[in-house]
Amino acid sequence: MPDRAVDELEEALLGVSALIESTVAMNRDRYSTDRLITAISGPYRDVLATAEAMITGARSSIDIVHARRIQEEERSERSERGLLYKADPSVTVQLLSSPELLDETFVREQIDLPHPVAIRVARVPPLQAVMVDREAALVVTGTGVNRRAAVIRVPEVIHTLHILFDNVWRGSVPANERIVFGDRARAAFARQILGALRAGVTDEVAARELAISVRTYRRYVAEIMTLLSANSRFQAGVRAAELGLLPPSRSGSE
Amino acid sequence: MDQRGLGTVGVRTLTTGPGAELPKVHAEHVEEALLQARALIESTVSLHRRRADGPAPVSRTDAEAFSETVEQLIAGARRSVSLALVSNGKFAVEARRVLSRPPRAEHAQGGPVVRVLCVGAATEGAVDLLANLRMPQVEVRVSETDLREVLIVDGRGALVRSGAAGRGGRDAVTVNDPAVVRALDLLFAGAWSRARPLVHHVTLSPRLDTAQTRRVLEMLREGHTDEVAAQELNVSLRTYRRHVAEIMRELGANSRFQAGFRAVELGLLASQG
Repeated sequence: MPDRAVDELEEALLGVSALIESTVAMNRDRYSTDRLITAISGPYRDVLATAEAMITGARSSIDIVHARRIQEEERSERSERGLLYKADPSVTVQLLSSPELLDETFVREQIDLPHPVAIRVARVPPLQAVMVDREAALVVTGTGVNRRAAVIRVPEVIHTLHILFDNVWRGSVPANERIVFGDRARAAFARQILGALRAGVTDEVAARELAISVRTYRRYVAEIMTLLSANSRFQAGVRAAELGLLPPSRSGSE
Repeated sequence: MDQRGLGTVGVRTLTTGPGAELPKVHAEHVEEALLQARALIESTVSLHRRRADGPAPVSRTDAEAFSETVEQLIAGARRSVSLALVSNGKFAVEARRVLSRPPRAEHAQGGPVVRVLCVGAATEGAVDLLANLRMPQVEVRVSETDLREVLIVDGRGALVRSGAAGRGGRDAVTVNDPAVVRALDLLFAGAWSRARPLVHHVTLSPRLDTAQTRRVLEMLREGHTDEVAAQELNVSLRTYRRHVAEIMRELGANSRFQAGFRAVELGLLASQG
């Protein structure tokens, strides 16, 4: 009699135990899915620490998007660019920068390095990302209170980010081939001339619009062609489009 | 329920051993342990509830729930729907089905902007999509490079297809984390700005897709003078210039610079990129 009661109790307890076991498994499952994306909500130094850990741990590749302007309050002595030197030398590093955030010093530093960072320039929306070994990515978007950062380990999402990154990378310009027209005023004038060339107007019309003589206009065009290493105006047009020197045509312009 | 269960067990244990002092004490220990276990489970429940706030940052969707997920995402769109297509397959079909519905009342004017980025193979499906759409603000562009099927809505939610080798029948991954969705959205915008409008892709192909045109474009691209180019192609200078003029007309260009610029934009010189 007492035995049966004890057995019943034991059975109930074993049932509870099994239930807890399966709940633990359920929780682990959930936890491992949760871990596939981890938001970093702390201060910016937490983001940098994460970036550092990812960069130093990289085994084969690091791909970086540098297009989000770093805020004043986020600056620290631990610069993003310093972090890259902590990567293992055998790791291939690609850096995609927006033109206005391009660090010329960093570009020059690469020239003498045995394993230089491949740097390209493209107009990219304000995103900051570090993608490592095609397995994990740290992304940062927004500024101030709207800053959001997360580490992703979802294979499908990582692959998608890479495909899009490659897409932009292919259409971008190596930083050392970038065309620099000189100071701000000269650059603005060069853009006006490129704009006139793009509009397809005759040299006479373009010169009149820019209030310069046709001779002067043609001299400027020749200078730009030299900068672009172009032998003909067609080639100059090709180079200007390839280098993204002018915004794309509106699709409704034809 | 737990309470009653424990109570009964307790009572029964107490009544079954009338003569033995030891089992009674022992039973009290068991009860104490059980009550502790119950308290522990209750606190675990509230611990879990605290975590369960809001949607999971990432979840997998199986084949049955796929349509529903696509539908929910698109139906909730306010500002933008971004779609990348690689084939005229399930994803394209599903998106077309949802997007071809009559717009909801609140979208009567100024619904979300729909951007469809596709690779060559998916172009046909995308053309169908354009023809059937009720949403006014749709643009389709063709990408030169590889894509992966993804749907991004308002920088708020995203769905990524799990390729052919879907993991255990899981069809897609839904992402709700704002940073990740924004990152996808921003890189999509980057790829978008480099793709060419579908109108170009469709209307350009026939006339500009001849061997002679390609040869002339190649000469132009290499920066040869007209004389050298004509010689290379074995035609008279006059004929060469006529070819160039025809190409410029097709491109809608008034100058050679403009023609070069447009040729790149339209992907006519893409093979060397």
